[in-house]
Amino acid sequence: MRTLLLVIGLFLLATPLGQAQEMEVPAEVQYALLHKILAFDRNLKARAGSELVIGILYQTAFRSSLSCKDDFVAVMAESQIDKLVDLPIRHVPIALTDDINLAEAAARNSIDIFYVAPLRAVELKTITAVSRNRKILTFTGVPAYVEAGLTVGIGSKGENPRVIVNLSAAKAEGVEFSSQLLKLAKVIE
Amino acid sequence: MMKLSQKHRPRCWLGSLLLLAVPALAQEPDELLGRSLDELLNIRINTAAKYEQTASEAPAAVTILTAAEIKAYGFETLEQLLRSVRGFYVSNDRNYSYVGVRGFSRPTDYNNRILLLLDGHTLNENFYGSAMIGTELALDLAALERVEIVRGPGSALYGTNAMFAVINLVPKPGKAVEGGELTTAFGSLGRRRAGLRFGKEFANGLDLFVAGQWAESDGRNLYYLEYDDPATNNGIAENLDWDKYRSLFAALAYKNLGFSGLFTGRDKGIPTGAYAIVFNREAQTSDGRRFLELKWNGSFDGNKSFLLRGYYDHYAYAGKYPYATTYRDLSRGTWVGSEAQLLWDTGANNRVTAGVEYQQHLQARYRAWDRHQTFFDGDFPFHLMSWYWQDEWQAAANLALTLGLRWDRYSTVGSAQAPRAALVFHPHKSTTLKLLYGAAFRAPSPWEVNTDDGVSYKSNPAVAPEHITTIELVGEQRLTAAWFGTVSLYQYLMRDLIDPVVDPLDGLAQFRNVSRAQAHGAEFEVSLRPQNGPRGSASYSYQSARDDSRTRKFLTNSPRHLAKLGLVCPVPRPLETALEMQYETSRLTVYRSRTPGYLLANLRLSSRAGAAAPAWLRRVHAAVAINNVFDASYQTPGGVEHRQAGITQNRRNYQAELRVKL
Repeated sequence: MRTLLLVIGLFLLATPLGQAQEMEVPAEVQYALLHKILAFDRNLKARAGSELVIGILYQTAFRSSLSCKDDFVAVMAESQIDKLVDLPIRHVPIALTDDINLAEAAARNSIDIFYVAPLRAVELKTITAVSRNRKILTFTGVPAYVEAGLTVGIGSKGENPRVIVNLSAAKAEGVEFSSQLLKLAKVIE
Repeated sequence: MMKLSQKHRPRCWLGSLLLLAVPALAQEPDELLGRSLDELLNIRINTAAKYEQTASEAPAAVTILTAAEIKAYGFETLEQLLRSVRGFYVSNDRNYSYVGVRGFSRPTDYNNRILLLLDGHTLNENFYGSAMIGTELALDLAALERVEIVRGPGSALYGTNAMFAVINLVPKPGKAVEGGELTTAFGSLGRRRAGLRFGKEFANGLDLFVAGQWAESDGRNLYYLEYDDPATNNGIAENLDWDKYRSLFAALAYKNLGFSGLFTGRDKGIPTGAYAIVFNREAQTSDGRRFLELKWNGSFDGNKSFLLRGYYDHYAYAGKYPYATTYRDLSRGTWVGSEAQLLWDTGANNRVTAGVEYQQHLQARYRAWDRHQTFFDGDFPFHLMSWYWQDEWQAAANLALTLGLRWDRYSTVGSAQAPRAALVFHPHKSTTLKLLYGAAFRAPSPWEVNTDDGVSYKSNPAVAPEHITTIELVGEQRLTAAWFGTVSLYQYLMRDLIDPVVDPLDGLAQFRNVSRAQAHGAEFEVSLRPQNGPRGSASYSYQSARDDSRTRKFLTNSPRHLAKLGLVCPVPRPLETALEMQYETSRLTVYRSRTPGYLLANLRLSSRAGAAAPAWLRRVHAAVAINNVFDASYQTPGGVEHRQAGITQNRRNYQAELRVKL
């Protein structure tokens, strides 16, 4: 009986990641919204260097993840916008393999933003540990990942996209969003 | 890799970017615009594997119908919706509706070889195994976000009944509605209907959705040649085709927890004189279905997630049949169950689904009586324990192998197993090839095992589950930014089919594992889904289904050819026109005659207020429909309980509908 209660307790304490580790809006909408969201980040210029580097975290062995990376790269390539707050934008795909050192990859590429594709069998803590240590904004199209500790996600409400912000994660990553954005977003404390 | 140009960006998404800057400009989503091909291909379904994936990734041939299509074509019942789906055909005996898939539809089988789900909850009841698809389902289809139709055997995940298809009705979440919506409809045959839906996502994250519906129709007087005699009112059944149904669905979701409930009821007059009742005398059936379900899902880490469900279900049927005295019967089913499911990503390229389900069928009762005597009264409770396992392994970025197995053990009829194997190959981003193997089973229902009324049926405790094995090859090809094509070739073999056999010794029917059937077929479909302009699909299905015996006779109620067209055009502006055309060839009846082939066309004209329209106008949606435009006289086969080989269907009729967003 005690074991049963312990199991039930563990269930109820579990993170609400559930099965919905999927994107709700297309990559082009995510990218368009990312531009708008970054404009509300008061610390962006202080954190970024001479350019804005987006590290796209994905898995080659997971088809949805790979497709998401391909779509996001294609959208960036097609985008007319090549600058944000006067900083040129660049992207670096980073395949999450068993032997990758994410911190080293982030440092080597001067990553400012992690775009996290759908992932399987990856502890998000391994990503947030690096992002919080190096003050990298985490951004995703998987709403459940924001609940699990990433800073910004794009979900949907009806037919409309919705920005989701995890405030405590934002603070840990050195991100300070203006109240104008927080008013429009779904905020997770 | 396919790149989408700016012009193909989804308009509804980009338009809503304004939300970030000027929330006042947020518009009601225009459902009538429907979804572009990109959006449709990115819809994630849950039915084929019990976790979210796109239709192209699913180890099955899948069709998705969205809320936009349900609204545009004005589908009121699942029967109407399935009629439009590639490879599906329907029958209606003016009491219940039946669906056939891949050339198989035993008359009066109550759709017990199809598994019907509502948001993953099984709707098939526990006494006959029936899946209700007509007005007897009673559910307001406007409450659905989409319908997921997964063809082929699904028993490897779902167990019994999932022999030909699994159909999952996915309700809208409250956040997709955000407010109230009222529907009223009136039409020929004395039809009147009202529906009310309300949905909201509250600030604390609680999501609520409620949908209710009430409908009645008077029907019309019907003429049957088989009863054309002065003693039977010259074959005219007067005021007997009436129909009354109602439903209430509610769903609550908060973080990891979800709760849902459904209550339905339907009363239907029987005008056909079925079961040799006194013709042109009041006869009716009543069906009620309800369930409550509580579910929890969550995850401990990045690679394991859990689903726990607990549910209560109830089914009630009552019949009233006029003979010299009034014969009545009833069925009652009550069951509770629970399921625990684990999704385990053992690596980036491997996902294991494992689950266990237990059902306790507290009541599976049938009673038949008249005022003089009780013919039968028996209750046959049973329990069921199930285990299932599935592994999806991505051998390469463009190749996935899925293996699955389910084992069910019934306390009454023994055990059954169902394996599944699927190879899904993407040689190119726009191309998918699927090689599918699956087996499925249907456990005999308490009705088939136990009914022993001494008048028509006798029991058979030895009856065992029936089985089907299917091999299928599916090709899906994105042809252009707006065109999409699907080809499916299949072959199946059914064995141990449960059919009623009349014992010459006593003249009573007994259900036995006596039949075999085999079929092969091909399905072709092209879909057009541009960002703007006309959208629709056209399909053709060839199906050859025969008795697997020396006679090699074609199966009854099995048209060889089906052709379908559905087209939604934004004309005449500012209106929208939806046209459905369905052609099928003749079907063999249980009396070895044939119902003629027919062409059916339905036309619907809807209002479509654009973004420039006043706000009040955007909240109103009006539609008029002409069903059976060409006034075709057509029939669908009935079962042996009818004197008529074919049951005449409705001629041209009309309907008007008004929806108001509150």
